Amino acid sequence: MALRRFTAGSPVTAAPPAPLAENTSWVQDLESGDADIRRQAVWMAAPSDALAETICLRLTHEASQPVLEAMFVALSRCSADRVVPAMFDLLASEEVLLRTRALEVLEGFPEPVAALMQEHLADAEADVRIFLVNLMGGLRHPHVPDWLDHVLHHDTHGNVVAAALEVALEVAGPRLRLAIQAAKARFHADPFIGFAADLALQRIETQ
Amino acid sequence: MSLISTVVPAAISETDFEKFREFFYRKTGIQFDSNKRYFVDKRLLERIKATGSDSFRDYFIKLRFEADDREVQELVNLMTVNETYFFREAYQFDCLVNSLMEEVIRKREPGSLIRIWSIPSSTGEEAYSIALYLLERWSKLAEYEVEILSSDIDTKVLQSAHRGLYTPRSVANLPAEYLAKYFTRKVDGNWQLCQDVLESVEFSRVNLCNAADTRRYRNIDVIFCRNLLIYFDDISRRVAAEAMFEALRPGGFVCLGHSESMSRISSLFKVRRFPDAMVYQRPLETL
Repeated sequence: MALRRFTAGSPVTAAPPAPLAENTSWVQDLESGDADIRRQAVWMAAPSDALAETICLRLTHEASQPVLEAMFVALSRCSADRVVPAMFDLLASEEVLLRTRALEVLEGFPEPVAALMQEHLADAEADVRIFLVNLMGGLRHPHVPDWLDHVLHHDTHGNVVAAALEVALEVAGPRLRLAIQAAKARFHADPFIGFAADLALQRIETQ
Repeated sequence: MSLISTVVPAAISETDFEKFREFFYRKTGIQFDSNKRYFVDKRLLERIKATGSDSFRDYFIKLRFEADDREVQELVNLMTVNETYFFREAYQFDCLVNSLMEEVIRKREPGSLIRIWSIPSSTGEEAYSIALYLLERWSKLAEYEVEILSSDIDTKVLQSAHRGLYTPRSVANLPAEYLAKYFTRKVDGNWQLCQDVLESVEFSRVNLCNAADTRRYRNIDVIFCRNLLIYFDDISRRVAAEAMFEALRPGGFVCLGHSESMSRISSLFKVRRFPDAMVYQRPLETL
């Protein structure tokens, strides 16, 4: 039989982890040219404001996907103060992975996100506003209908309003009836918005 | 002198449930939805009474500020669900011996160490199933050294796993010849696993979401992590996926439960389809 034997009371035989460069801190290890060392540094560092700040500064420069994934997981465990504003900034990134992961992290901080949502809904970029609307769909927060109401009444970009209607299909209640009707009227020439608005209104009527 | 009240609260309030849920999640990564209220409340009230606490608030203070996490461990033991049995979802064990082990040894010298990690261990059936499969169905076992590690956050089930005593229900899927060869039937109808197989698995207490717990698991060739992630929320699932990625040797494999998908959790792993099962693989090289 070639199964290793463990007798009662025998010491743990799991091999110790390959050590990171000895006597160096995770800050230095994050500068390593070896992606494995950078990833381990992120993984082993305890959540802290310092870690969050350091990672946020590195996100747009990190080329290794596994390291990036570890960074976003680490950020989701740090406090919101440093993380949430940086994630909002990432929504304007050209990199799909950065935007996607930033949205996932933001979903985990509903209250801090709520405090900044109205401000960011005024972003000049329609794409950013679309991401924020999509974020509302995953965010468990009682103000989601208020934000949707604002977008449906006031946003000037058809694609943003269309995204809001898609979310409204999932979360709409009678509260959003007027806003949906207003969006349909404002974009009366857009067949998709008309279709989505009618569907959302139907959903409300059958609730 | 402290006066210990014998009055236990009749119910847990919504506010208290939320406090407890947040605390337990931070400690373990396990998320309770509101539909688990009955399950959680019953066990909380049990512990409030058992610790002689006056109220949830009193109990919660003890819980948060105890020095050794002993009461936290009691709660974990109560709150985690542990049912399993031998040869559960056996198609993955078939995949192990028919495909995964062949891939693992492809670039390894005879005599080298192969490491398999089963987490959560629950009462040991999965890890021991792996041992039985290797003994009976992997023809090259004699040429390699195989180490089977198994971990759980619940210390009570780990104790039970060490004992290796199983009910008829737990062994119901085992072929009769395996029962005859590796078990002894006890007078009460339960089955005692033989010493050789008991000693082929190392059990340990590990929280998969705690990097300090998992750091000593490295260069693992195959991880079985089945029906654990379904208890986690999105963040904890990603943390667990990271932990598994860290633990695996490049090219190593992860087997999840039949209703679980790594693709929805993390993009770190490649999907590999084998005749018996679909598994996930850490890429051979870090990109």
